[in-house]
Amino acid sequence: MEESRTSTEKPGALAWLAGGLAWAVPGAGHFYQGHLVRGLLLGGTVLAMYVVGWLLGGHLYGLHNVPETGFLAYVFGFCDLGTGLLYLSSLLANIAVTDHAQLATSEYGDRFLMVAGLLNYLSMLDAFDIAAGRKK
Amino acid sequence: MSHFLTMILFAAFVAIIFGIVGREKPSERFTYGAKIFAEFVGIGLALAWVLYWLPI
Repeated sequence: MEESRTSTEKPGALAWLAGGLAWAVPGAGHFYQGHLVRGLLLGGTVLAMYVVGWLLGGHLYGLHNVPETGFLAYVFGFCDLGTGLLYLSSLLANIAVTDHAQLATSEYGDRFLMVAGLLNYLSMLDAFDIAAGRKK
Repeated sequence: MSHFLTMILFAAFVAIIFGIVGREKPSERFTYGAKIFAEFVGIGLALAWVLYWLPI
């Protein structure tokens, strides 16, 4: 008879893999587990929010201190990092990394980019919990 | 893009993710997402109305 999983059970390697995939590519952690619609909705929403943020003139923070922003730059950088490879490839390709506001809506763009990252962290935790048997 | 449309888009994106992640049943997801969306837009409009009357 199969033992039922409890919340105290340690998550296996597959859960960490699903979480890592979900962080790296929004929606991939759910695709990997066969939740196609859920992955499409989560990944598509994060991606759409990222693109809107970029089009609004938002810029990505690096994981380093910025003199005019101070310690908050680390916090903003952590938020942006949530979009995984999207964030890293944008930094490498020099997309959305301008230091000064290019558009009047750039502040909105910054928030969109950061919240896209934070929402992907939520999506990542969801994929992890599903793989660990804590959620359906 | 107008400020209002930006707010609507932001609320919609957040509501979709919260709706999926926050509830288990599909019907509850839709209701919860709609509630989050309405709260974002409603509170945003209420705050905008209050701020409108504040002297700068």
